[in-house]
Amino acid sequence: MDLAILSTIFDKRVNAFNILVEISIQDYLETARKIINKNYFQRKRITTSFTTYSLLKKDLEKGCVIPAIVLAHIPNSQNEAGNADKKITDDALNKIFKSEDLIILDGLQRTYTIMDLDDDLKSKTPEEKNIFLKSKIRLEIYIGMNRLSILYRTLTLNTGQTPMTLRHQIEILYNDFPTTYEKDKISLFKEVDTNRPGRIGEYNFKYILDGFQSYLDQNELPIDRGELLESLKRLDEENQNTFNSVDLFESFLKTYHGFVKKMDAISSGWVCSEELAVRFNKNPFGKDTYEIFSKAQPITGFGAAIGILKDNKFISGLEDISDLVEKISLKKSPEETFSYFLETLDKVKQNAKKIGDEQRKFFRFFFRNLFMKEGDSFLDFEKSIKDAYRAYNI
Amino acid sequence: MPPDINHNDEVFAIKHDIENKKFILKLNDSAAEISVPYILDLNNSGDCIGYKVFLLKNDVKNKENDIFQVFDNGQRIGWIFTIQSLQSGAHDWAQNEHFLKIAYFAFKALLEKIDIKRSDLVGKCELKLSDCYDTDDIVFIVCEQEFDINFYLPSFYRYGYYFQTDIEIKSSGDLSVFDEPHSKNNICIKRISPFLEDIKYFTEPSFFERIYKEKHYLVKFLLLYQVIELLISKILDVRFKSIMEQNKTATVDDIHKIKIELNEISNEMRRINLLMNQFVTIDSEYNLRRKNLLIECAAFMKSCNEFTGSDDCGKNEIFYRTRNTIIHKYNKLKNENNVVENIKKINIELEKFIIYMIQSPFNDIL
Repeated sequence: MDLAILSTIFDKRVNAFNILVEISIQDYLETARKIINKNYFQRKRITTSFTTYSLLKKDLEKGCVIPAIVLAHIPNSQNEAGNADKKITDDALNKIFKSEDLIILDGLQRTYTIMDLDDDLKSKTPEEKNIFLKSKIRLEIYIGMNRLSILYRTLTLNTGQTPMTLRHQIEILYNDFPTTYEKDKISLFKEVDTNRPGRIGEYNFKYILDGFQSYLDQNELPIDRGELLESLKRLDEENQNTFNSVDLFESFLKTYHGFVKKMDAISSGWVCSEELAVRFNKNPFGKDTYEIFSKAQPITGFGAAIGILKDNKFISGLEDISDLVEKISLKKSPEETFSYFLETLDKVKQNAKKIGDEQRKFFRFFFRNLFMKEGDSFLDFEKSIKDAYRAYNI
Repeated sequence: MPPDINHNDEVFAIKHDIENKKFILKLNDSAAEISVPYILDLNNSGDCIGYKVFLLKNDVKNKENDIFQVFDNGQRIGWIFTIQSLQSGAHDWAQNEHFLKIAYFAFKALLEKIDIKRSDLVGKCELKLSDCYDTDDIVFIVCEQEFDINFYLPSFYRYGYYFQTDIEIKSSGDLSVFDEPHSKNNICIKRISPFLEDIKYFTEPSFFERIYKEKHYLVKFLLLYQVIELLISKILDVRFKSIMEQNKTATVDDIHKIKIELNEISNEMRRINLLMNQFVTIDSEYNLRRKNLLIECAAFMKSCNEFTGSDDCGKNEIFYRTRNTIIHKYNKLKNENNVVENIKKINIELEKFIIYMIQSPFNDIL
């Protein structure tokens, strides 16, 4: 393999070397075919405009120069990541390139086109094929990035495109987070798990992630691409430790879990009666406090509200909320309070264009009212519901 | 014709990935795939053959929970709901087995019509249904292959449903008041009277969209009054032919009698009376709408000092005189007398009246 290093620059933002190399298409194909299907991070093939697709193929066949394809080396362990002092030698680079620990950050569709053309040219003479295979292309290879830096760079490189689904990006972002917290009796369930959350302490991992994301974004709605980028920045700022957010996530989870436990305690075993359920078309928002508060809507509403309160300095952090949760009490009976809660949620439902989004918004108002010291529904559960509905309706 | 989404000119394969709750779209000429999440529980029993899907608009009944079963002549023929209702499990029908069945077929039919080579969709590997359709689109799925929606346009419009065509009028919507469905869950529709089927005005979507979107109260009044004009022309046509038929063996001695008959039928007021009192099958709902219209007409006439001692708020003449005042004397009316507001009120009642009237069975006027 003939890899020629043209330039090496250190990227201070992602703490990694960026190496520009020149390589033949033939050599690139050898590695590309190995990494394109094996990589967890790898995006799927996307639809392309037929015209653009065939034009690029024809151009490549004639030996045109295409923009550099950007790859990243995924280190086997975090110890390898961000080793800024390590000098990259030609040998080391060749070794990395021959391994399968590479992903394509930018240039996936170009790679697919190159592979397609290689297949198309099978019937041609070796001379004809060589025009294409011996052509040179440029690669930029990032060495030493950690997982979150890779995601960050992927997003910034691909502005204006959709490199991978948002869900995929979020999964990468939080892939390493633990799902069991034995001391606090908390378990998070992923979609692949056969069991489903069903009792206090058990939550859907995706909902908690959405809630955490809402906390970072101060927005209860499902995030878009730009917001994800913003989240990465926030994680960076909040932790003063580049892209290390596990502790903050754990803190968010435990705070919310504390709230759910408190709800269970003050509800004194309240369960939505059959008679009450009929009023909601037998489909109340939840049949008990755990069912109500283990859904995505309250978790994201909670995240957004707490994020806003913190950003506006009404609270100093999640620890404040844990203290406040302990002070919540009901002024009326659990039956009366939670019936009213369900009725209000049903009103939101009946008038919503998008029920889930509107309910998230309602919960954001609810939690904001409940935990904002300066407000007149502070720690007043019933009034927080009432005021939240009023604010929601404005 | 309403936009028909039942003919797919794009060729791609659709596969339902039950385990991962999504559909996968695959272009025939490419290895690329697009996944579209389908989060509702699955009920794909039965066959999709025989269903037709239409896209409508409704600026009021466009909430996720606005899901209705559609009945014709006491029989359920389909369902109507928003695009969002297919993408969410939060609404009241998300566990209903009948809805789930129809939702599955509707979702699939909508996917089949997506143009995945559309510029804004190219390059995506995951789509939501709402990326491909307007989030305000309303889905009507009917379980009869022979169903001709053109004959039901007034019925749908009664509840605010209309088809969006390419007419260039910015939406107003504040000048129409629609009926509430018969029950929380059901909408009853009725085929247009066979007698009116040949009047294209009533079987083309653009008319209903136009009257809904027209912002100017005078233009709206004229548009609505066109319906009355069309119907009384029809009466003239039918009655004239009838008189000619009845008198085809007439002699010179019958001239006077024929002249009276022709005079009578050529009189516009007379035909309006025929239309409003005899032509339409009268029921209590019709009477109520007619009464409300006449009340607003009388209020308008009083406000512009055109109401005379001989006027009767209960008679159709007040409607005709209102029309004459708006058409022939508008330049003399003073706005301080709430003329504009009163015409807007007339429009609301006139719209409700004519939409109900053209769905009613028409009597033999011969």
